[in-house]
Amino acid sequence: MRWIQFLALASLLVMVVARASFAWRRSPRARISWLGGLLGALAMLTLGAVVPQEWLDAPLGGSNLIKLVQGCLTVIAFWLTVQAGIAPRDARLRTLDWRLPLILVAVFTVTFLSISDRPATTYYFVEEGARFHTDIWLYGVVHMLGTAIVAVSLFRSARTHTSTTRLLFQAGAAAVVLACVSEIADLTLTRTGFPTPVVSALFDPLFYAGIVAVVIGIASLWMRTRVAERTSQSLISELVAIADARGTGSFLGDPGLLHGDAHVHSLRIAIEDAANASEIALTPREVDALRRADVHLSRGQSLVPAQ
Amino acid sequence: MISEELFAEVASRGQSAFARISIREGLNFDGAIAEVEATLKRKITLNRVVDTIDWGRLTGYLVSMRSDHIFTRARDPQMYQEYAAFHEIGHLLDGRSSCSAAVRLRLAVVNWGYIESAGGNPDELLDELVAEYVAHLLASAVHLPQPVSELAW
Repeated sequence: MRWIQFLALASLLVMVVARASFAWRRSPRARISWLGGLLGALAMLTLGAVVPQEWLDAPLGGSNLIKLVQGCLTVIAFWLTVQAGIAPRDARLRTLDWRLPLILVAVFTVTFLSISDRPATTYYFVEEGARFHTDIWLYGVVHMLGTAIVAVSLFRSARTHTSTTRLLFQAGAAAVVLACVSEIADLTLTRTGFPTPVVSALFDPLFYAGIVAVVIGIASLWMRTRVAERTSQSLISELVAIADARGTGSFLGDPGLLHGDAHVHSLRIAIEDAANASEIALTPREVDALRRADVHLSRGQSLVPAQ
Repeated sequence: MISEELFAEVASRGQSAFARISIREGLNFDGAIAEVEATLKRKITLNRVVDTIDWGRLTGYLVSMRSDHIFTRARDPQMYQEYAAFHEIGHLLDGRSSCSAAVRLRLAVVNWGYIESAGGNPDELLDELVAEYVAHLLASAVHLPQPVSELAW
């Protein structure tokens, strides 16, 4: 599973680096998803694919506290990904309702710190410990339940996205939920003296395949957004040239509407108005440009509103 | 050319008219019409007219009787018809114009000069500019919000 962990980590890091300037200089709302990506990358980093887990856990006392950090980072990252899709247009990191992730982090921490005797750093700390210790079993179950709750909300929030992203988010979230259920079953079977290798083998492929699906979903969303921005800019250039050639008058609406898609819309109206006013019919090329503008401007109409 | 004073009056009246309806996330064209009906407590009927051979520069018009009837040209693209309808809704929300005239015509925007040179009175010009201002705001609220999911990443 290390290559999947590495792939997911590398994809997240690429997006976090590429989006940093946009999120911190231009779009406060984009900071929600940006922080989600960063925390997700940090969570993946704690798995040991790049830096050995022992090295990361050592400064924390070398008693598997890194597992708690990993669990908290994962649920917050998932939750921020949910918020990026459903929070209001003017949402900011500080205006989000942080209660759910904070409650989960608190529950994880209390359950984890209740473990009476934590062994030295080991990748299978929970899986091995659950065999003999009820407190470790309890932490594993609580952690998986919390992660599953946030994954279910990711599944539900996917309805606000376009079809490709929706499918990837739902498939990814479903895989994560199934992984959590399999892990709870595995820990419980182990704790009750019936360890079952088939069940034990389910978590990693399900969980990391789910993570990769969500990361690909984020990447497709990111590319789609970039394509929409470029389409808007190229339509403005094309429509300005047509409007100038037809001698449209100056824009008489709110000057704040002369940017991005609002500018595309005002130009497409002005061009058709100019054609009607002059009674010089639109050429096929102009009709095609207006049709493409309309398709671009209508792209959000089929989506479920976030609120 | 439109003077700065006139444009300031247009903007002031246009914003007041637009502020009369509440815009919520995901509002579509039909939802906007329903909002306006609720605000005005009047029924609005949309009519897409097929036989428009003699319309010329006309892109839409409003007839206010017991209820309001908006007429648009069926062969125009949906986006353009909705804009023409928003212009008439601009008149309704502005409130002042429908009192003075039972029928309002929307001519193409570049015809403002035509209205002036044809001796149209300044009040009528102002009404048309306000309706146009509101139409742009309505269209931007209904068609243009970038999908929230696009704002995410």
